[in-house]
This record gives sequence, structure tokens and C-alpha cells, in this order.
Amino acid sequence: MVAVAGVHAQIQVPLPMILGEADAAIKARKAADAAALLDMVLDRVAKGEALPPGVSLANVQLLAANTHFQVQNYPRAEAVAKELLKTTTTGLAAGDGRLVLGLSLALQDKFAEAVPVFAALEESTTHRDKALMYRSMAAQQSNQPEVAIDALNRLLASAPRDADWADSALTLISLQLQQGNLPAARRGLELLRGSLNTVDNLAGLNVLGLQLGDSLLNSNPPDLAGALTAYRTVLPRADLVRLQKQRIARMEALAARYKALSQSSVSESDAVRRVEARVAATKQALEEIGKRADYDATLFYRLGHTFLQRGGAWEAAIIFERLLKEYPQAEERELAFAELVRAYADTGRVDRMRTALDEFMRATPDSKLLPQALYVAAQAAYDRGRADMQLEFLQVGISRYPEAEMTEFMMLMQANAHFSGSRFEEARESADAYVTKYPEGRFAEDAFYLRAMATLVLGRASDAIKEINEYLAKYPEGRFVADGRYRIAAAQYAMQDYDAAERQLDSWLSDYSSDHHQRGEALSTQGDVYAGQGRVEDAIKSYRAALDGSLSDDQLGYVLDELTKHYQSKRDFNTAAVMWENFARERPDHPFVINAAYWIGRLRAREGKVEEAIGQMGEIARRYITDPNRDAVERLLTQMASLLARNPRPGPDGVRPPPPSPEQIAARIERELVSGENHRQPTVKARVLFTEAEVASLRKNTDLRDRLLGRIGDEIAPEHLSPGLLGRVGDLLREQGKLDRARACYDHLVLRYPRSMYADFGYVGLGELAYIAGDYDSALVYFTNAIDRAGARFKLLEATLGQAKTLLANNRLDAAKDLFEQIASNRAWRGEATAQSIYSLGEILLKRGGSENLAQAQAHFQRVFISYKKFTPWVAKAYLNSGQTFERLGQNPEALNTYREMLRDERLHPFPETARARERIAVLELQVPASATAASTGGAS
Amino acid sequence: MKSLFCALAALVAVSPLCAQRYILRDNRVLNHADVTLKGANLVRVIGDGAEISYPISQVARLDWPEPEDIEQARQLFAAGKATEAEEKITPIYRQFAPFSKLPGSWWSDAALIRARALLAQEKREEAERAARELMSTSADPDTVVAAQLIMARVQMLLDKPDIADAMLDEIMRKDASSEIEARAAILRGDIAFARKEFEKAIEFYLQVPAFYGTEEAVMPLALLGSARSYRGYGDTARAERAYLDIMVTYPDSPEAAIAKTESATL
Repeated sequence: MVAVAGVHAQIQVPLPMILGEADAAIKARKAADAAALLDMVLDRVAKGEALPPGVSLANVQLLAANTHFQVQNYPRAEAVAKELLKTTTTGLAAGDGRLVLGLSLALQDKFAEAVPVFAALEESTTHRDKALMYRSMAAQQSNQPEVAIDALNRLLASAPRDADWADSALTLISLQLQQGNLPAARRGLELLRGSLNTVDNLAGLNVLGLQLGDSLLNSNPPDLAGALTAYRTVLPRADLVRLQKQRIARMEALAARYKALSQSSVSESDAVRRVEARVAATKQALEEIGKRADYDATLFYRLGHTFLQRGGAWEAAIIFERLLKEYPQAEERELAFAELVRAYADTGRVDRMRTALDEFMRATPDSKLLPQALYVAAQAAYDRGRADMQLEFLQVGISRYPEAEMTEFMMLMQANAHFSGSRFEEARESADAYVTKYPEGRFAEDAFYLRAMATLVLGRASDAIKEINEYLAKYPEGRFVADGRYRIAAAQYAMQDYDAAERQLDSWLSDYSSDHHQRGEALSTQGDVYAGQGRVEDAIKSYRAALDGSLSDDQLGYVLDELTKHYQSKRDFNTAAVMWENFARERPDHPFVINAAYWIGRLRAREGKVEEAIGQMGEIARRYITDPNRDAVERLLTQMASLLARNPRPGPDGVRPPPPSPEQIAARIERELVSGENHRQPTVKARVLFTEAEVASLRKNTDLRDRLLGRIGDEIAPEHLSPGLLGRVGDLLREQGKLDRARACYDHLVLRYPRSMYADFGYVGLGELAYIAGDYDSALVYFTNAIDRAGARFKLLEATLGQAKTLLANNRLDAAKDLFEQIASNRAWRGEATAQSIYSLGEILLKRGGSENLAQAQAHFQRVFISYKKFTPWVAKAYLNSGQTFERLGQNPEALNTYREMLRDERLHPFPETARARERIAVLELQVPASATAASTGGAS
Repeated sequence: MKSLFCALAALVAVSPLCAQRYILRDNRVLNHADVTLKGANLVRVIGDGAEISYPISQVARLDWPEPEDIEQARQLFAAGKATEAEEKITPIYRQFAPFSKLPGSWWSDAALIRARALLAQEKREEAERAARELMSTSADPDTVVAAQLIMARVQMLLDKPDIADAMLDEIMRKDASSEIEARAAILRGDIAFARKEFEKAIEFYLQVPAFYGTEEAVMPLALLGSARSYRGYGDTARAERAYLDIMVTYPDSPEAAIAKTESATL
């Protein structure tokens, strides 16, 4: 002790000594002693004693205030700091004094008083960031959110991005949220996302992210992008726990390092306090999150829901799948199932959608969300052309949830689905069921009219007229009145009541304006009526008038074809050709322009103007020849090839000039199709080669044809080929064993042109490739897709045969048998497919075994080599199997005769089955006496 | 009086929290500025040319803030400047190499950035060596897994997606950070894409935006993969949207330039 109070006298210890002792006490971490000594100094100075030279009062006051702060004597620290600031208002000491004063006030809960102190401290370049941070804290505590927000905004704009910065950003977001300023809160979060590694309080960030996401999602209008950003900032529980533990360790280490410093400043002391408080808060938040078993399920649902709302159906599906897998009993599961169905519907993945729907119905069969999900699924199935699935969903929905609100919607959709699937009887029944159940329903008018239309299409014209008239009576102002009146005329025409139809159409045409959308159709039907009456000129007049009205492409094609037909019947080829020429000129971008070129060529050729026809076809073909999407170009080129393949007519001298060589034809094609601009374009090159190949084909030069088509496959990448060429070239490449190149063509065809009329080439080709590779499951899918998805316009036989042989390879004998029988009994398919089917039916029987089946199998094999000799691959297989069946039946002489008969057919010698037959002959000849074979029958005999 | 001023100065002094220090096993502390590395020793000059040597083996841990070059190299790499990133990080990688296994060392971070930069430049053999070194040296489990992922990626460079896939199966059996999981999802997407399994590829790539929404460093890569896969799947509308998302949200990423080029051909 340096100051001793005696009884009689007081010894004054010099101030420098007291200051020295205070310094020693600080170094020895005896802050309380130092504080008392410094107070003593200040007291004596206040009484007039002078400080030693070089020591300013401000510095001593500052040290005293700081030391009192260290020992948590905040009132005294406040008092000393205030004294200091009375005389020292600028400079370093003033800044430090304000820091001590502000913190001391704050720690005594005098937040409102602290706010202006920190505001003044902002002028200090040293303490500016801390001042902003503390001001925001004090303002927040004293219920001055606007002040706090202002301070935080300024702090975040300039402070270095560290843990304090991140903490301030979190506080700002929270304040903005409380103030309802969602855009600002969102901006704050986006700012923070750029520096997430600085965030110590991840648990707090998670809570804020969820709160902000919910607020943005529920705002009006919802801010989906913002909500998604907020939810995507939230970590799943396992990640949060792992990362938060790392951050807590980091914070604790930091606090320990602060504490280890020998001399800590006011702000460092406060930093320790803040870090420790942050650790405690974080641990508590973590504990809370740890208790919530449904934490991730809640987060995943929000994420999935927001993705789905925002058009991210793929992401939503991924998230809902995970939610349902990991939390099958979560509260959100019903909603998740319903939205998973919608997500798959939105992405067009109907098979996955079906699986999700099945799971949904199994997991929560009584869910009120199921009817809606079934309706969504039915709509999606329709959109993807899966009418079978659509009807299945609707049937389930209508039968299982008859009282649901959505049932009314589903019943109408069912009627429409049947109608658009040409199941008119079922459409009629569904519409009738709707009208019965909901006579005044919101779609009653639609159902009423649909029923009449189904009746009409079913060919019951008289009943249809009656039902349409009933509709007209019930809904005189209805939406379908004009159509109904027109349909009555159409029905009358169908009944060949031409006079009534004529009257009905006259009435219709006079009642509805010249720009009515059905006028063209009505005039077209009027043309039909006149044609039915044999009034060809009137019919032509009506059809031509119809061309001036609005017509769908189908109707337009019909009218043009009818006009062409009538002009041809009058042998007026020129008028028909001129009509098509006008059409091509007036509507140069219409898809029918290529049809026009086709007809112009054909009609001009009928007039004997072959050269002119070729020229006009070439002129139109050049317009579209570079575009692989225009697959009608191939049709036109085929027609052009047919003209080019013709032998020249005899000259005036009666001598027929020699036919042009392939080189001359190639030069001509090049001249017609290639222009300066397009000559390097790969699609043009492909189409030129295709036209040459077509000419070669028509001239029976199959080698040249295959060579030319082969060049397309070898020289031109699939992306430059039209759908028709992709199919043709793919098939040729497959025949040539170039399987990878063939696959590239097929892949491109089904992926790029799934709705092309040639898509079945792609599916069948891929099916054959999968079959060759032994991947029968995939092969079956491809063959089925060729029929179900692509409609199998060209490849129905190949697709059906593919399904059958794949089922056989997979030992699904009953299903295979049905299909082979279907093929064998189809007269239109008679040929090699029949031979293969009969042979395969024999194979099925052979696989089943048993003497009766073997005998029947034998009959099938014999039928092949007796009735279908032309198809040598199957004849060879049939002979061998026939011989082997005889052997299995123990009829070796018959077997021997069959093998010998096979060998007599020289056409079969190249086949491997013949070599096998020779081996069996050698074996059997050792066993069977010669006399036995002479007596037995076998083979064709 | 000098000491009094020191006490006053301490009030405003910047705290030594950013010191670069070696902590020895006996808790003695060596400031980096006071020593130089000579062979296997840290050497301190104590005046008159006398030296005290401290064997590196006696260093227990490093107390070292993250070198600025690491963040700069990370940013260069993220901007698609792999060559520059490699140049920037290699001195740090070498500086910390003697302390590669010690707590507080920045070697693992530097070595990982370097390995990724080598991979991005398709320096296959060097990347493979760098990954092997990390796997055998790094004490950080996440870094080891990241190195294993690089090894799997090398298989993709060798056009061996099946091997990469098998390696991924093995790697992902262990617990991994969300960054590693995101990178693994992208690699799985790449494998599916190489096999033309576009639907599967989309589902892998979209794991990243769906579940790893804070992994901004790999987000453009995942979105680019998804855009390409949508395209392969035949969904050009979604492909276009994904390309646009990259260009708008990550305009400075190398993937944004690729997205611009590829979307023009849609």
C-alpha cells in the first residue's frame, strides 16, 4: 500500500509512485487495486495537486475508467468517463472514453443513454465499426429499431466480414423481419449468403431462414424466389449439428485466446462476453433443434413446395421422395405425396407419377387430397398421350371418392377422354352418368352436348339430331348452339337426306356472320351435300368459298383434296394445278406447301409436262430442304424421284432415247435441289443422296440404293437428318451391322422427334438393338413404346413381332403365343412374319414339352417348310427343329429322313442349321437301319 | 512512466489475434517473424550471430490465420482460372509442407486447391499424384474424401465412368461434409450423362440446388450439368431456363460463358 493514514499525521506518497504502483497492479492483473490507486490519484488531482510531467489528466481518467470497467464497476467507470469527456471531446482519448462510457451505460441497462454516446463514437476512425455495432445493440434494447437498422446497414456496408459482421447481419435480418420489411430482410440474407463461413450462429441463421422463407412465401404476392433463397440457406439437421459443433469449438478457442491476453482492452473484454453469450445462445438453439424429430421433414416440405410453386418440379420431386423415404410418418407426408404426384405430372414422368400415386393410396387411403391428386394425374396422363392411364386414374377417382368435390370434374374429364379416344359408346355413357348425377352441375351443358356428339359419331344420326334438338331447347343461348345446328346438317348429310341438309346449311349460313369460325366447315359440308346430289359445279363453288373461311389444317386438306378430286374427274388438271400453285404462292410458309408441290408435280405430269413438274417441285423443295424438321420434304422428293425415274418418251421419230445414267440423274437432282447458299449444308447433301437412292430403288438398282443410303449414314451426323431419314438410315446401318451408328440415329429420332410420324422407326430400332444385346426387358419397353407412344404408323408389324419374340425370349410363353397367333392370322402381314410366327409357336410348344405339345410343335415346323419355302432362314430352323422333335419323340428314322430332305435343298446349305443336320445324320445313320428309313415318312413327304 | 503509457496504449492496441506462431510441445511459442526454416529446424538468431535451433518435430501446432493467398487462389479457381490458381497456391502448399500434419497448418487446404486446379487443367497424372499425396498425408477426413473424389474424377478423364462410379460407392459410405456430398452428386450426374442416362443425370445434378443450397462454389457446375441433361432428355424449355439461371445468378463463373454459348444453339 502506498497511502497510509497515520493517527497524527498523513504521509503523502508522491503521485508518480502511486501511478507506478497502479501500473504494476495492472500488469499483475490486480485491476481492483489499480482502480483504487487511480481513484486516489484523481481525487488528489481534483484537490489541486499536479500530475507528474508528461502525464495528462485525460490519460489517467481513461485508465481509471477502463480499470473500473474491467472490475465491472460500471457506475464508477461511467462517472470517470463522463468527467473525462467534459474536458476532452476530440482525439484518441475522447474516442476511448466514449467507448468505455457507452459500454458502461449499456451494461447498466441504460441503453437509451448509450445510443447517443455510440453515435458520437462513430466519428472515431478506430472505433467506428464497434460503435455502429454497439449502437445497434443499444438501440435494439431501447426499442429504437429504426436506429438499430440504420447503424447495422452502415456497419455492414463497410466493416470487414468477420464473425461480428455476420452477427450484425443476422440481427439486421431479424429486425427487418420484425418490422415487416421483407425485401430488406431478403437482401440482408442474400448478402449474408456470400459470407456464410463467417457465421458462427448457424442455428440462429437456420431459424431466421425458416421465418423469412415462411414470411416471403405467405406474402401477397408470394416472393417465391426469395422464399427459396431463404429455405436453401437452412441446413438439414445432421449438417447443422456437425457444422455448429465446429463453429462452437472455433468460438470457444477464440474466447480462450482473448482471455489469455495479458492486457485486455474494453472492447476485448466485451468481445469475450459477446462470444460467450453467442456460444450459450447457439448451444441452446442447437439443443432445441435437436429435440425436434420432424425438423428435416418440415424443412424438406417447405423446400419442395416452394420449388414446385416456382416451376422446379424436378427438384421438388427429388426432395419429396427423400422426405417420404426418410420420414414416412411425418405430419407432412400427405401434402408431400400430393405434391410429389404433381411434381411428376409437371415433369411428364407419368410412370413415376403412377408409382407415387399408388404409394399415396396405399399409405393414406382416406386422404382428402387423393381425389385432387388423381385428377392432376389424369390430366398429366392425357397430356403425355397415355389415355389408358388417364382413364384408369379417373375410374379409380370416380369409384372410390364418389362424393368428393373433384368427382364432378373427373366425370366430365372421363367423358371427354373417352370421346377423344374414339370410345364413343363409353363417352356417351360417361356423359349420361354426369347428367344424371349433376343435372344442374357446373359442366351440365358440356355433358349434355357431349352425349349428343357421341351419339352422332356413333353413326346414330337420327338419335343425334333428336339429342341436339333437346340441347337447343334446354340451352337456347348455349355455347354450342351454332355448332349444334351445323351438326344437325352434318347428321342429315350422313343420313343422305341432302335436301334437309341443304336447307339446314342455308339457314345456318344466313344466320351466322361471314367471319364465324365454323363458316368454312359449313361451306365444306355444303360442298359435300352438293356433291352428293351430283351438282359438281355447285360443290366446287362451295368448296372454293370454304377456302375463304377459317379451316383447320385437316379441313383445309380435305377441301383441297376434294377440289383436286373433282377437277381430276373433269380432267381439268390445269385448274387443279393452278389452285395448288396459288396456294403455294399465297401461303409460302404453310405446311401444305410441300403437298402442293406434290400435287403440282403429279397434275402437271398428268398433262405431260414432266419437266415443268420437276422444276416446280424442285423450286418448292429448295425452300425447305435445309430444315430437318420438315419431314414432308421426303414425300415430295419421293414424288420427284418417281418422275425422274421414268424412261424418256419416244421422240418425234418414234425412237425412245436411252434412259439417263445414274450420274446424269445425280447431276439433275443436284441442279434441282442445290443452290449456291445451301450446297454445303449436311441436310441438303442427305436429301440429295436420298432422292438419288429413291430413283435407284424405282429402277430396281438396290445395290446403288443401299450404297447411297449408306453414305448418308456414314457421312452425315444424325442431328442433320430429318425423322424419315433417321429411321431409314438407322435401319440400313443396323442391317449392315453398324450398330453404334444405327443407335445414334434411333436415339436422335426418339429424343428429338418423339412426336414425329416416323418415331416408331426409332423405338423399333432401339428394341432390335436391345434384343440383339440380350436386354429383353428394355427391348420389350421399346417395342411397346413404338405402338403406345409412337402409334406404330409404319412399324406395327415389326413392333408386334418384336414384342412377341422378346416375350418368348423371356419365357413369357402365354403372352408370346397370343401375339404370334395374332400375327400369323393377320392376312395383311402374310409373309416372312407369318413364317417366323408359326415357327415360334412351334418353339413355344417345344418349350412346354410333353408328347402332345411335341406333336403339335412338329406340325408347326412342318407347316413352315411346306408352306413358307421362300423364307429360307425359317425353313432351315424349322427343318432342324422338326428333326430334333422326331428324335425327342423316339422317331429316329423320321428324323433322319427330315435331315436328309433338308440337305437336298441347296438354298439351305449356307445356314448353320444345315451343318447341325449333317452331324445328326452321321449319328443317326449309325443307329437306324437303312430299311427303316425307307419305310418311314418324315419331313415334307 | 514508460510502462504507464504502455498500459494506456493497450486500450487501443490491435490485439495479437492474428499472429503467426509456432507452438512447441512444451508450450513455448515462437513467432514466425523471429525464426527461419533451415532444413528440419526452426532457427532463431539471438545476437552476435548465435542461433538456437528448434527441431520441427518439436512443433505441436501452428497458430496462424488463413493466408490471403488461399482465398485468392480459391477465387481464381472459382473464376475458372485454374492455371493462375495453381501458381498462387503452390508457394503456400510448399511453405506449409513441413507442417502438413500439424493442427493449425494450412497445408491441406492449399494442397486441395492445388489438386483441383491441376485436375481442372486436365493435368491428369499430376492431379492423381496430388490426390494420392493428400490421401496419405492430410489429417483432415473431409480433405481425404475430397482427394478420393479427385481420384474418381480422374477416372472420368480416362473415360472410365464405371470405375468412377464404383469408387464413388466406396467413398460415399463414409460421412462427408455437404460440400463433398454436393461434389459427389455432380460426379454421379456426370457419369449418368456420359452413359446418356439423362433422367438419372438430371436427378443427380439437381441434388445440389435441392439439398446443398449453400454450396455456391459448385452450384454453377451442377446447373450446367442439369441444363445439358435436360437437353439430352428433350426438355429444351427447362434446359434454357437452367442456362439462364447460370447466366443471371453466376454471371462471373466460367460456366456462365459456356451456358451462353450452349443456350444459343438450343
